[in-house]
Amino acid sequence: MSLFLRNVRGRALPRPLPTFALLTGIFFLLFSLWSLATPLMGVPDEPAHAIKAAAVVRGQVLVEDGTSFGHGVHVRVPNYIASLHAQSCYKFNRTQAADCAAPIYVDDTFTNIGVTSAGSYNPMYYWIVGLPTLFLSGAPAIYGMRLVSALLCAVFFAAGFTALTELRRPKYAVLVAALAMTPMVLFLGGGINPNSLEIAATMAAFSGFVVVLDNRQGTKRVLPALATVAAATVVLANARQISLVWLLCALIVGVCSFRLRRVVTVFKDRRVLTAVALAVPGALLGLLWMYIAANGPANVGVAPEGIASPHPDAPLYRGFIIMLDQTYDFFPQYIGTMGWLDTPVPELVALVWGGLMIAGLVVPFCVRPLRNWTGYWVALAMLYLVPALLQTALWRGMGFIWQGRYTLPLVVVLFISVGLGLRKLRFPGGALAQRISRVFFWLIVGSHTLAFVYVLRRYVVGISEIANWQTLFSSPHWQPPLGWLALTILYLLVTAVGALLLFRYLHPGTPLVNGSLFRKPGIRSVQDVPAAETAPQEDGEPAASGTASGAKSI
Amino acid sequence: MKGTYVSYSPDGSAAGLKAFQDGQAQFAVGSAPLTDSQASSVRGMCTTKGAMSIAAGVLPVGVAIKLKGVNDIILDAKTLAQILQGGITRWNDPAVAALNPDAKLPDVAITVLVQEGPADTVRPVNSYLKDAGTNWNPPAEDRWPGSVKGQVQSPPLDLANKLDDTNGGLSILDGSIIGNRFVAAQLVFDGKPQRLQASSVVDAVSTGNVTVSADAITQELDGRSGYALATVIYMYLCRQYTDERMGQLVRSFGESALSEEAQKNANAYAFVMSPSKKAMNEGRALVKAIGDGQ
Repeated sequence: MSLFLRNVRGRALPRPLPTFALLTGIFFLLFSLWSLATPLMGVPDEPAHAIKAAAVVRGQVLVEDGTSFGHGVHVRVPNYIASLHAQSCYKFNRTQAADCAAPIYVDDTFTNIGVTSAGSYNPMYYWIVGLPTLFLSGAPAIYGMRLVSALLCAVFFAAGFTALTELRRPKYAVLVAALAMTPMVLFLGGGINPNSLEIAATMAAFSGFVVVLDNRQGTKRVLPALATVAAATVVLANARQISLVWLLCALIVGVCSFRLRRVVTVFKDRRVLTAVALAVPGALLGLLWMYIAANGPANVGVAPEGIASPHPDAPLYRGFIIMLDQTYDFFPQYIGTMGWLDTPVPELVALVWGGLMIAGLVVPFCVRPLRNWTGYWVALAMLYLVPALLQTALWRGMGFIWQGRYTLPLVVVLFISVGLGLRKLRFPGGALAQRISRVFFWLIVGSHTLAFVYVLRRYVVGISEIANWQTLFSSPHWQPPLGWLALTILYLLVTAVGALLLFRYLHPGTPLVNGSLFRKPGIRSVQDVPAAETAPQEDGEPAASGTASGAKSI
Repeated sequence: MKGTYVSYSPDGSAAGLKAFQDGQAQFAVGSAPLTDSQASSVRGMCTTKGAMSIAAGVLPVGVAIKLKGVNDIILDAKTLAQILQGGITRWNDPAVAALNPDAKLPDVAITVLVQEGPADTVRPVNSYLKDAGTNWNPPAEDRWPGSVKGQVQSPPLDLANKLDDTNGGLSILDGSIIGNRFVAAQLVFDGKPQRLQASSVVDAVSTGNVTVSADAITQELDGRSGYALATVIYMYLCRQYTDERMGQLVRSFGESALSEEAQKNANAYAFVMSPSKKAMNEGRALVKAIGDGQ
């Protein structure tokens, strides 16, 4: 932690590696706790992705002729994996606890046919995530897959945040990015689904890219950020086909967040060109895969039962208009609709993030000049248009299949662009700001934990009309590994540590716990004073609010 | 067997049989028993013993009619063959009127709308018309003769929607789709009109011939007892699986599909009747013996 603080305070000596390691650890713990809290196959489409991963590590990379059927692609995997679709008794039904699911046996390893609707997806993510099934079996192997996926995501989120701390004025961007880590983002990070890696890599690519643009004259200082962009680009090109769209969106928003002249300068830099040269082969591999997949057997003939609703004769513009109309209907899914779209987070949690998101969307209208917000305007326009265009393209064949989680990479970029737009304002460090900060940080920690324990309640006893919290203690039907209570306490601790780190980063030298909340009004502690009123300005912050940068609030 | 599941791919019985033969499916379902040479040549997941066919359900097939003002109509094989081939083009044709002396048939054109084969509903109609001695020569058991009018490439439910919009329309649909939506023509079997209803089909099944061998349990319907136009649904299973654990899974599935509960559900939800008691008992015995060196 001290390393983290030193890094932040003394920017003469950037130490991104310890920061990166610390953040990787925190994200990994958060995702792992979600991995344990969610019953196996409780993450959307998890069986299809788990089966695909087990097939890819067994050399079944391409879709062979004669293996593609209406319900998906047939692969040969151990029976405990081939049977994962059977873990479905609680799907779409939040009143049903997870104890109805059959055990996944360690010795059920004879080779059987598995059916996956992810058959033609790029094998990269699956090859890494499937590795634990080569030396583990049964439920431990599936948890192993989840943990590998969680580690991958943690690495990219940590790289993205580490990059953001290298902005010349990083605090707003880091704060908003942290708030954009909604319960949904953390939940997805615990499952087997490349959707989570896509969010993490898009966030990392965007963050690294804007840091490079922000440090155009000192790219040597931000080599880790540059490496992050290159790695994230390769990952996105080799994740899902749609991932390249998110990468493109992120790069466009990044370019629009700075002056064009600066962008041109950056792309003349030797180090940047080297990074591009390193990323291009990986990206080409991704494109090659798309070509192979497009010319191979079909991935799946029909959308999952209950979701598919083809409209072969439907006018396309109508699908587009319907999606535009529903733009804000997806926000609850950005915040948290866990399980198989069956468990929305409690209203309190939705309200907290709803308020934060609305504030984020409105802030740009309050801070002038508006041209500083070009990146934000473009990202906002993308939030309206890109999902609508993509869904419209799919409408006739598959019906309305769009889910909020598909758009999360863009949502995270949108909110970080808000943080970027605010960067020219002085970050408030006064006693009042710290006090407000403290309350809000605890509110966020509490909300994250409430979402977590609510989802546990859903799986341990089922959500019923009556407030059945007490039955978690008295008659739990299902228990996750370590038990729900231990997981909840651990989750509270890890989110609190994360909040503590962030708070100390934003308000150096000021503790999150030892705040004025617990003191009598009118008495100020010595600790409150120096950070706000006597400490020197941090490197990178303007000398005075607004005037140094030309920005002003209205 | 807990912890396993059955994945169904809606690709048609021909694709299912191919998948079974290629080792891409543990079992398949079709509307005719495998021939001896087919059964013995199936490998896929089967040992050299090959595959077997077991009658698992009877799905009535009906001649669906959409004709305003007409709630009941009788057709025989000869008339139906002429209608399908365009020899009879109006509902008040003397040949139709002769079969329905008490009915007031309108002067409306007959529009034939049938699913282009191969289709499982085509097979029993071909068999009905051929057995009745009409000049009926289909290129395959599940394909229409080229002379049949109104062949369209629509899935059955779309075909039903089209029929709904066509006054004077006639189609061949399975009983679960016809339901109360259309009039199902009474068909003449052995000189006697039979109505498409569960009890009549069950009567035709119960006296129908059942053949039993090591690789097939077949069920026929007896037109002398009841309504005999139906698709018999056959499960194709390996007699022995190369992996005994796979055999256990399929045995479990087969026992489940032939259980009384599953048969009742098929009847309640899909208008599928059970094969006769004899066929069921023999089928269960074969399924139970999968992999037992039979």
